[in-house]
Amino acid sequence: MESTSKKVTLSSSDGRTFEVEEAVAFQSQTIKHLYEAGCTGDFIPVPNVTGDILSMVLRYCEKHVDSDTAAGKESFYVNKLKGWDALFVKVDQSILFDLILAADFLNIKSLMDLTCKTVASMMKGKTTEEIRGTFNIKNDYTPEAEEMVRRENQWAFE
Amino acid sequence: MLPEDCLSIILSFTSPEDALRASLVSSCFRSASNSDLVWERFLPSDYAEIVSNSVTPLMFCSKKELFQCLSDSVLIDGGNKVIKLLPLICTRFSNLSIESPIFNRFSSWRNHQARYVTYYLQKNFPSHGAPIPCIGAGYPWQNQG
Repeated sequence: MESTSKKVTLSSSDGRTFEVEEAVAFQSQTIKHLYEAGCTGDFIPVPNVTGDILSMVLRYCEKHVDSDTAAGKESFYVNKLKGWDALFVKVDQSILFDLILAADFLNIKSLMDLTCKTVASMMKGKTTEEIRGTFNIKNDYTPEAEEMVRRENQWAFE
Repeated sequence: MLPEDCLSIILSFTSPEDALRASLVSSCFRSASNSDLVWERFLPSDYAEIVSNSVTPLMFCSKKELFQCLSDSVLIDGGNKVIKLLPLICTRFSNLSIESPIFNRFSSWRNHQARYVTYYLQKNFPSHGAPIPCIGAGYPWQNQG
């Protein structure tokens, strides 16, 4: 890491500030666009993300900052990073959901893919009832509506 | 729970079966699972070509409906070839002739979640046991590692 590299300061929804290198922050397309549009004051506000989540996101971005370079594409680093990613998403469901919302708002595609794939793997092969249980979702269908949805998808199971 | 857009992205990483099952979870899940974003991912990557090669115009107003269309046999290439998405539930193929060389191909592909097969109609089929022309197989994202 060069000590001369330019830094930007981000401010979370709860007022915490984070000073990071441009290359780290600019993995977020949202921040990059804000910066390029002239939002270069003392800090760039990230109003939708708390400090706790933003620090996790920035830790992810720091880890992935070299992944586009030739060295970062070598299989040794790719595999190491995959292992790191797997541990990174081993968090409580509520934190995982907050990370998805943050990745969505900040527009960080690789983080969005990683977190969404993690939730997808929690859904695969599960019954409707199991999905409701896993994610604590209330069934808001009337029996008639539920029957209608069932009929709508009948073609796949005939 | 997450907003519908995020839920659609999540469902696009599952499978057609999972997405359909998810639509019964709640009304929000249903809207998310009907999204074009989800079914675009499940369709063969060259679906536009298949649609334009169909002998009879395919009627659909969403990607999910197109997926449903392609789950039935579709005649393409001037009626010389048939294309069919591999079944969500394998028993759908029970009406296929066991003697057909095509059937053997199906049974070996089923476990690999192949997406669709194309085959010549029996009358035009070159010779028994000849390679069956295939224009695509496998879920698009599974090839990405």
